[in-house]
Amino acid sequence: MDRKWYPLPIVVMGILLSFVLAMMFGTNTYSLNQVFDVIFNLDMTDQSHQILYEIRLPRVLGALLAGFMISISGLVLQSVTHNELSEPSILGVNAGANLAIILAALLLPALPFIGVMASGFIGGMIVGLFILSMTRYRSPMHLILAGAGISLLLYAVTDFLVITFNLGQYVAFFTAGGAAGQSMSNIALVFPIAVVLVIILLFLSKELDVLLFGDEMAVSLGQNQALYRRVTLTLAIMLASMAVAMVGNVVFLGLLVPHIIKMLFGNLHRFTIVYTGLAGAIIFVLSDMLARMFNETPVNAIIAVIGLPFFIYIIKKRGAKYA
Amino acid sequence: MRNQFKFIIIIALLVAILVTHLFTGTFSLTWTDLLNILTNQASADVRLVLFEFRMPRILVVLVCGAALALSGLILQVISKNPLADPGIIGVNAGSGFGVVLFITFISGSMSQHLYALPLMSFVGGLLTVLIIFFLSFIGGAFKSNIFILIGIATAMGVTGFVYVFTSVFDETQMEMLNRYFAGNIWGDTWPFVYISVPYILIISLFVFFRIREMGMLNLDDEMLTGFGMNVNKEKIILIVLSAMLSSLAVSVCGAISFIGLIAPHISRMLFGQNMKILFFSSLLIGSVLLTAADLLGKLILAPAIIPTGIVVALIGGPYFLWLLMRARQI
Repeated sequence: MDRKWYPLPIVVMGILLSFVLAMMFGTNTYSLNQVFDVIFNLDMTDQSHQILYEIRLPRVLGALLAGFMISISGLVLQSVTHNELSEPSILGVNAGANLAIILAALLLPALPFIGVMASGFIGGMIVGLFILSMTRYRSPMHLILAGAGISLLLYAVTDFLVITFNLGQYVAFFTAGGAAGQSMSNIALVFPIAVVLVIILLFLSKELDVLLFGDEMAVSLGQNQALYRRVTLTLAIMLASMAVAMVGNVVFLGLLVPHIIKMLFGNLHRFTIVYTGLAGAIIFVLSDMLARMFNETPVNAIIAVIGLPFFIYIIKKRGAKYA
Repeated sequence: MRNQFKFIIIIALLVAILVTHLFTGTFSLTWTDLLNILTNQASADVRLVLFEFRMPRILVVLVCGAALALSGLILQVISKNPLADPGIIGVNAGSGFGVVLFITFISGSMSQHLYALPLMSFVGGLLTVLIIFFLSFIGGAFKSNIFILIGIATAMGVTGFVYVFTSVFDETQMEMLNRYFAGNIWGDTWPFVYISVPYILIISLFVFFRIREMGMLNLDDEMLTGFGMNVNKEKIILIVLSAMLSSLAVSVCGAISFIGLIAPHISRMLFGQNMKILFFSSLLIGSVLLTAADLLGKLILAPAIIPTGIVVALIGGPYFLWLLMRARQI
């Protein structure tokens, strides 16, 4: 057993603790007893139980799941692109998924959630791969400018569709980002897929470590780096686009969490994937809790307040590399 | 082709767009109407449409397009990066923040506080750029790449943060904010012309007097220091001017990106690197682009109007991508 697994129980405890906290606090505050009652002793005739079970529980679980997926996606993207600033929203994945979801809503109004998710995935995939192939993994600067530019363009197209077809209500949710309005059936659908994807990533953690050394090193170690790069990228983009379908366009989370984890636990993916996912879930669910407490503020606002100073700190610290 | 011819063609294009702009719209005018106005025989309707609706809008769009282009040119010179644009590095987001503060804390309609809104939008944009600028110094030297990275991050972060306030917004307030972010030109009446156009012209004049310095900034910073130029001082002056130009434009036009990126680039392709020529051609091309986008927004889905900012992004985005693909190194 590696020493780096020792903190795992603490992190898992953190998940449980943040789950309970997020269940308790929000627009209305509930007591610890009520939360435990809902979990172990559900009584649907009680009104507070109803609210907790039907509205808050799916939201909290959805936030945990989305935070988990977005953070791992950010981690893998950072490793594969050799770019510390990679993140699904920076790579345009969010904008692409967003546009595709709007298009799907427009063309096939009765699409079930799995269809929404699939269209988000296709959109995110197309844009993510397009940006990566276009910049050909050149400088971080190039990648980020490309992502920023294409995101601006795609959001303009989205806005255009929204204004022309009066989809305002539907879209405001995606651009602002937020975990409201989850349903248990959606979570039941996403959760197994996410777990499978992450397990595959865990199996590929050695290959990801080698990719991190650089492409030449990977080749000289006999790794088919093109193959692994494609596979891991696809997995990462799948995770990110599913998260977009659930909680909209969340920024900075996929950047922030992997950085914190890499500072604490080093670079080996078999640790970082697990810890990043769990820490991301904690951070996102707590941000969502804060958002609920501040009068249903979009969760992006909360993450941006923490994330922006952190991003600037990273840039200034690693400045020499980009300047 | 000689430069004069190119300028003549651009100006002819601009005039053609402006004339079409004057004549088309919900209420279309004809040549006879124009003739009547010149001979002072036009009906009150025609006068109203021409002088109260069309003219101020055209003036605002014309001048703001030029301002955005010039602001972009300055940013590109300072950051030595041909892809810099005021919208991409956070001016729009900062102005949006000012707009949100206005909507949140100043109740009442826009017409009651005609000057407060552009002022707050202006201050928001200016402050954001200045903060980004001062964060981009590492070891006492301005790092252009850091400037752009921090700018992009700030644009993302501040846009997210802006939505903190939206939770207390009602529908009209939300609509105002959405109009701002879609780049809907709201300042299309005379008072807005008075508060934006003269200042933009004055600031442009200040920039014109620094053209020699701008041209030199293309050189290496160490070399310029060796020549006895205070590089940091020049950059600070120019960046303040650039931020003032773009935030003024954005405060009456709403969030418009890409003009500051494309206009200087087209100018460089057409006219080369002479900074004095670039200055004028960027101004002109910026005007052409924004007026054309405004016109298209009016015509494509008539009678519905597409916000100008969206049209600009739909044209500018692909152009930007094309630039990126061609760029060898950034």
